[in-house]
Amino acid sequence: VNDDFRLIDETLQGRPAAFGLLVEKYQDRLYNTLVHVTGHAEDARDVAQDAFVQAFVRLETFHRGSAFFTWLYRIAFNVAATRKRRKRSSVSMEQLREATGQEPVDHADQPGDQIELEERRRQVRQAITQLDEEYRVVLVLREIDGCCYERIAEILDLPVGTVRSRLHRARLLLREQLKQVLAVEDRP
Amino acid sequence: MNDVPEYELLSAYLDGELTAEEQVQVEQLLASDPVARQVLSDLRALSSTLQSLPQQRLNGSLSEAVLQQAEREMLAGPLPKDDRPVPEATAWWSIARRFTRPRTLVWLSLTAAVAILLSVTDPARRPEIERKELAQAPVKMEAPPEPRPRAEAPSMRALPAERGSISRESAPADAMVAATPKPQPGQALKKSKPAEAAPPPIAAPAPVQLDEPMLADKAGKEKKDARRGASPQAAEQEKKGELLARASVSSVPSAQTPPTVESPRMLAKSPSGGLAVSKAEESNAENHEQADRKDQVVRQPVLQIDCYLSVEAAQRQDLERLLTRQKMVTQSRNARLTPSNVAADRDAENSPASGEKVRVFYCEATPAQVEATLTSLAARPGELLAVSVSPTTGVGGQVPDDSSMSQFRQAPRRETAAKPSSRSVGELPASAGKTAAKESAPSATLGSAMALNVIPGELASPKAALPANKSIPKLMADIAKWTDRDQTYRFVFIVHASDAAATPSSVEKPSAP
Repeated sequence: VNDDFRLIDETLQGRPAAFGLLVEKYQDRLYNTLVHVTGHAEDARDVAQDAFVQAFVRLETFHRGSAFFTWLYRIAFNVAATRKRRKRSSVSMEQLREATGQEPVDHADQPGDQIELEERRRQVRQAITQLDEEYRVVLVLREIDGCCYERIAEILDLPVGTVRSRLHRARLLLREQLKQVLAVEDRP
Repeated sequence: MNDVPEYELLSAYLDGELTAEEQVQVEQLLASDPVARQVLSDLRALSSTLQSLPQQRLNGSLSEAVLQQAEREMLAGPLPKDDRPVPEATAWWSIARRFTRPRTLVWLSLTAAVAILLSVTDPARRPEIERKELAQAPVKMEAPPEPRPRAEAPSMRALPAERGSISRESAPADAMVAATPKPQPGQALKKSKPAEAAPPPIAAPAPVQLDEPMLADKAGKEKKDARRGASPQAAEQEKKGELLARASVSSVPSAQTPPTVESPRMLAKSPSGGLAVSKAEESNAENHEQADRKDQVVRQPVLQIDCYLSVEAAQRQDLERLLTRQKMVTQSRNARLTPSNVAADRDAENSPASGEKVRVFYCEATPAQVEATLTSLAARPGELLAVSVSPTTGVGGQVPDDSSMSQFRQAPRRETAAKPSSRSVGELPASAGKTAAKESAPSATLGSAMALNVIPGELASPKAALPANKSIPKLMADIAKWTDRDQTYRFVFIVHASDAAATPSSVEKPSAP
């Protein structure tokens, strides 16, 4: 965190390259989260870029009451929500494949286990994108990004209790959708 | 679904997010309730599955693109991304705030300093009138020397990490110099002159017709009326231009900072640059203006630019916004390519589909403005798919019928000082390709088409269109064959909304940025 604040100071003092370092530090983490939140690789990239741009432009308004990363995520989710309102397009299976960066798999060249694994992953990603946004975002922040409840609450500006209940609800919903997948994975 | 309130603690138990008291409570539950144990087991499996998903990574760093876009937004504000109008007060406030930010002021001050330095060291000082002239072709300030993909805009070339030593403050100055199209010795100095010419009236409350240098005379007034009548959006933008100018004046904190120190985009938005123009200069300019009007109002030929936009970009009216911002549009309308104008194309198989809906913008602009507009549009990935140009009327000495120009504003437009054209249409090189071949083709059909208020679609040749990222230099080269970069011409922009299927087959998809 201190390192981030130092880079922010340098940026504000007129060295944009310092902000470039912040971008490089967080871009993959943010992108990975956004791919699951938006369900689309291209959208995730655009949202990540816009979020960094907005963070740069509004850097003076960042009062360091939270980590830079938290603030950045908050911006990113706002950007994603705004884009979604504009777009309102449903996520097709093709887009999902694109979202996850998976090229069509040539099953002939793969062992059976690998095929099954890819298929299960695809089902899991699809199930995530089918959750309501309020559940999906909390779930992704916890399970994909590894945020603690407090951090999630900070990013989403929610009480910790709400985060806890939404996360539990999201897990139950996902468990329902993925019963078969989980059953397979439980097999010894 | 085991959505029992007590079970909610199981999730938090799994995540280690319980208080000591809750922990005890859950352990008691698990000891006594097999269903709770099953739920916990399921949640654990689910969590493990989710956490085992492979990490998605970006190809390459975003930093350069981010810094480039951020610079644009800090200096000029982002291109509106939706159709909601910005309330005037909000626009004014956000602009004022933007230009009073310390970092922006630092940028602007240094830009001013560089501009002043350059102008002071300019060995060949230009007459005052030229300063005004330059101020009136402001778009040149933001036109990059050549179109670049999103990540390679000139102004931020100095900014990536490996050039970290280059200060943030220097970026705009770099931008101003680097953004000068076709840099020639001394040209950058000339572009900077409006800043030097800035008079001290920082506190001047009213930006007296800042973006309408012609308002004083009747013709200018007519022009303004015509523009307002033509498009409420244009009027809105015009008003915004004034607000912008006001913002830039009032937000400059120091008398040492000339009020003309605006971002390139700001200059483009308030084309007066008139902040820098003294009364003497204005009077001088008016004389030139009258002489110009006798000479020629808007030059020939009329050029048609076919822009193939993604459906989304077309719906968002991105091109329209850019054209309007540059105050280029005199008239716009929706149209449908009719069999008559499509069939008129000798190369009918390549012509746009009959019945295709297009949006048409009649504009008056300099080629430099056109280049800046297209470059700006092309900087947004996936929006401008392809673009082509073809002359419509007035080529090869053909003089268009006045009635055919009905879509353009009638009032004479202020011209820059007449200077001898370095080329004439008769000297067109033979190597201009298909588009150039049209130069010699009489375009009488088109002239009548325009006179009949039919959109000039017959000369559109999608085959000549190239992907936007490749074609803008070629397009500008073609335009340069017929025009002088700094003179004003009439352009007809035709916006085709293209998806993959509708885009002409010969048009390559632009490569991903």
